Amino acid sequence: MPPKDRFVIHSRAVVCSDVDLKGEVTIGSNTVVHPKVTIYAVAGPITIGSGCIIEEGVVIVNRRKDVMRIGEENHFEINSRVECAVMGNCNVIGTRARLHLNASLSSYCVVQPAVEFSPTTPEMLPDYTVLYGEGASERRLWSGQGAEQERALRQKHAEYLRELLPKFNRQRKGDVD
Amino acid sequence: MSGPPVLYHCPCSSLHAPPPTLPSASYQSHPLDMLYFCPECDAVRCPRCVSVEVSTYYCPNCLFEVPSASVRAEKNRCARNCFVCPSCENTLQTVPMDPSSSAAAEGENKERFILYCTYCRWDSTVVGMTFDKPQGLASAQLQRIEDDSPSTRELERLRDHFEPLIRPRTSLHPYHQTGTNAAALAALRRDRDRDRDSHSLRSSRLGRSVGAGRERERAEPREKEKWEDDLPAFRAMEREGEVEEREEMAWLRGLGEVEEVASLRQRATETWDGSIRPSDQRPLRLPLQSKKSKRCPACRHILIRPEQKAQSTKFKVKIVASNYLPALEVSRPEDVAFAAHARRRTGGTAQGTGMVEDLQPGRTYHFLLALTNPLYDPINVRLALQQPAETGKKPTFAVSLPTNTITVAAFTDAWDYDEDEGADEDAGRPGQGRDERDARGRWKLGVVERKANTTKVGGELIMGKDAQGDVKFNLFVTYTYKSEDPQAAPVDEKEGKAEPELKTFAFWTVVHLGMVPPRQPDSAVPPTV
Repeated sequence: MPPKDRFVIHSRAVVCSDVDLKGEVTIGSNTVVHPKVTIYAVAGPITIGSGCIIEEGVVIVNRRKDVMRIGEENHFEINSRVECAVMGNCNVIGTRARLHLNASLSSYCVVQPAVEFSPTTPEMLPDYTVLYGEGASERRLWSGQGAEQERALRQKHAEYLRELLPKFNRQRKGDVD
Repeated sequence: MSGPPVLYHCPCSSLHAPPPTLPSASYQSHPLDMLYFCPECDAVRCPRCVSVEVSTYYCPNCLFEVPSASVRAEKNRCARNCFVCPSCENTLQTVPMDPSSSAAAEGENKERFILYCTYCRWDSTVVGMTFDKPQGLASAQLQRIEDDSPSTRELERLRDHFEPLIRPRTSLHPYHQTGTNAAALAALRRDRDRDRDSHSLRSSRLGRSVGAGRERERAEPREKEKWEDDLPAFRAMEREGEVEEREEMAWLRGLGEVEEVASLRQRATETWDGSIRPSDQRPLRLPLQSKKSKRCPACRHILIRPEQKAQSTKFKVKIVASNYLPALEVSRPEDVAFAAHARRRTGGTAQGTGMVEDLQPGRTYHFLLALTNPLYDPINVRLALQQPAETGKKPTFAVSLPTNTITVAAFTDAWDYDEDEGADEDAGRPGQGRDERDARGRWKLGVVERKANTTKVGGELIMGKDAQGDVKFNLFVTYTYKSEDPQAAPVDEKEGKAEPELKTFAFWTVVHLGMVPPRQPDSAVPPTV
């Protein structure tokens, strides 16, 4: 039996009304969810931390029984698809990238656009991993140089979106504040 | 459904097309869109025979046009701010370092810059490169590193070493830069040197080796004397190669994964002595690219001249064969049905040679040859097959094509085409399998369809019993068109009006109809379960 819908959206989060939510979804403060986003907690619940940016057409699905925890200040670019088990903080999921449910990200990982990462066995990517190349063929650890600037930029980006999105979109509120 | 393109023969190597089965034939024929046309010589020119000149050098990243004088000094690479990522070959960006780390590194409140790859997140701190200012990295800062590298110093030494030898030679021969065959030039030079009295040469170059050597030299034959100079033997700089090698071996032994070694591709793009450790790969300046203009080899008429600006993708002069010669395209009506069948059978995956059915020996096939006219006047085309060479071997297939003159309508802008052209009596729709046959239900050898500036003719292919390999044949295409050239057309003063002269042009093509699969032994057939 599918779990009952229960959406907990922080009062300071911006979630557009044209968003498809299902199951138990918790969205943290300052997170921005663009229109046409799909978040399905099919089996277990989904918890999204604060300060994330989830762009148009992103699909986040939890097919596992456990809670899918997404950390803080993650950036999901347009049309990416994430089914991973756990995600840390400050990750970037590129446009049209796909993460399989066997994959887990720590913090400061980067999945470049159109990369499909589907390990056959559960795999946790260490901090500062970059996945790039066709079919995630290349992988390296970056030095973390520039991460501070990126973080500052993301915070500003989210702040701007929180200001701008409600002007042109209806907002959605959670069941309980 | 069209097969491989019909190839056009360029007369640069031989006037007549060789039989297409010869291995050399494939180098003499080119797809139409790769060919040029010289209107002066009235001839097809191919990329193999045109003479190419560089018209501009530019950096593909910053689009800076590099004057040709400085190209050599800058070693063919961008001397501004463009770098290639050593890890993924993307172009690098110059970004400021994070405030915390730059402050920690410097201990002062000054901004420092690094090179940064947005794709694989490589940055120049990996190889310990940080910069004080974001501009002029290549010329000011990287150049120093490059010039300090052992291989550069070695090359400089080599150049210094050979300088006294090269300078008098090159100054003697001001024509050495004409770009002609170097071997021929060397021979010329030798002849000229032989004719010339070598006293002056000897006094300048050989004269330095005075004393004991002179007696021996005189005994040697003169030719040898010319080429064995008194240059001291070149000794390479001291290199601690052995120690390095041993270190490298030790490092290699400790490796666990193959990814930890820099890939061959990465090492090949590195300058001379690339390291095998990926962590040692340095960013390289971006190689320059060039725009080339092309000339007819016979009359030096310009066929291609790009616009000087690097930003522009246009051409000032572009004389290509597809604007002059009718385009030929071959297709087999059976392929349409076959492709649909193959899709059903294999579940959507195209297999084999791009949805074209393999030919079977002993069968008869039909094909369509579409002729498209690029000229603004209608043309008359005649097709002729090449007679098989007298090799004594019987051809394994026979091709029949209509031999009468085929008219192809003029090319006009799309909105000028009349709708009623479809009502043309011999026009029909191919692929329906109705109009392509005549009253007796036979395949029609001749014009099957006329549509706009394209005329399709039907042909027939009869496969022999022992046919094998590629089925391709040479086709001689002759077409007549109205000449617009006022000089070429004799202006008839008596008649008062310049009658457009009919001109004829002919060229060879190679038509590829398909392939007969190599015969397989019966045991190779997978058993049906």
